[in-house]
Amino acid sequence: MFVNKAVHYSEFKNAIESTLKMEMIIPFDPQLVPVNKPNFYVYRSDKSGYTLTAHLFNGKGISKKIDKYYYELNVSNNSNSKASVYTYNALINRPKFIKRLNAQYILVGPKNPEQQGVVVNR
Amino acid sequence: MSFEQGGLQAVASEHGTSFKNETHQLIEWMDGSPNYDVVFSVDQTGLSTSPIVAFFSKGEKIGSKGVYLDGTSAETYIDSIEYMTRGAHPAALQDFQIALLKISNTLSVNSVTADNVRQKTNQMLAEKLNNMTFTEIVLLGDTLTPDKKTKKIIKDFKQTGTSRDFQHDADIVRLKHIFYLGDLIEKYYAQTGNYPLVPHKKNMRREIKCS
Repeated sequence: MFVNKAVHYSEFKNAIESTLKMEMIIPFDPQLVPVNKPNFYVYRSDKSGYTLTAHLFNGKGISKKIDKYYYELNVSNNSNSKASVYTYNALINRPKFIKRLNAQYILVGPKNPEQQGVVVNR
Repeated sequence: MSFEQGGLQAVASEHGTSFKNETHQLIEWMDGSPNYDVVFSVDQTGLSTSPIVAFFSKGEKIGSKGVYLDGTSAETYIDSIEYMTRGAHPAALQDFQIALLKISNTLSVNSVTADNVRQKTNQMLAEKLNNMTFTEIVLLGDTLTPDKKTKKIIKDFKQTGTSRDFQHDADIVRLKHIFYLGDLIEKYYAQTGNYPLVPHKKNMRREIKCS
């Protein structure tokens, strides 16, 4: 049985900033209210490593379909191609990912970091 | 009254009681009208000062058009759409307003009624005109004869509960965020040989004992 412990995102931020000696910007999902899917990023960690999750509206080819208009993009140190979990290096080298990453967009994201941002430590 | 039974109740509640009172007055006033149930007026859109008046024909229930506005999800829905149009995607709202202006020009109504309605509604709703929600506009557009672009937005809205254009852009931003976060985590690993917040074994044992 897992004992999950949720921590504030600032702990994650502090860990990164103190180690890398740089300022970190906490990114937030551009959608303030969830429709069809959760609207936050999740970082989970345990002894075996980490999983970073984002929920996409359409993540065909790079993520796992959960439901209609609900895709789950998972990045981890342990890859699992059946469950569409990629390592970071594998993901950023996927042509589909690169193509979408560099696509044009006109969106301006939300500016309220307090609204979301929970890091789950498992 | 179909207005209150329909999904637009949620829209009214979002605007607070003052808006509700105004709509009640409006409904009471319109109740005497033989042809129309509810009237909305839009003014000062930033594009034109001429009012747009929409009529819902008698007996036509807004709720039946706005199936997505039922129950608990209504407010979430409106918030989301509002954010999309006001905060993030002003272009979408502007397109809609332009579409509505086009619609209003082709709208043919009984001229006597129309003039009266315009005057009355503009008085009553003048303060709320700038706060018209995307949902209202969608419902408004749906009851009229929308052009191709408006039709697409309404279709998206009904199918997905959101705007495909917005989500397309939002997905790109999400990927950029994952790209950024993953990069930081990998750099962290390169320096420390461990991932951020990965618990030590000792800590894990202690946690389990406490719980």
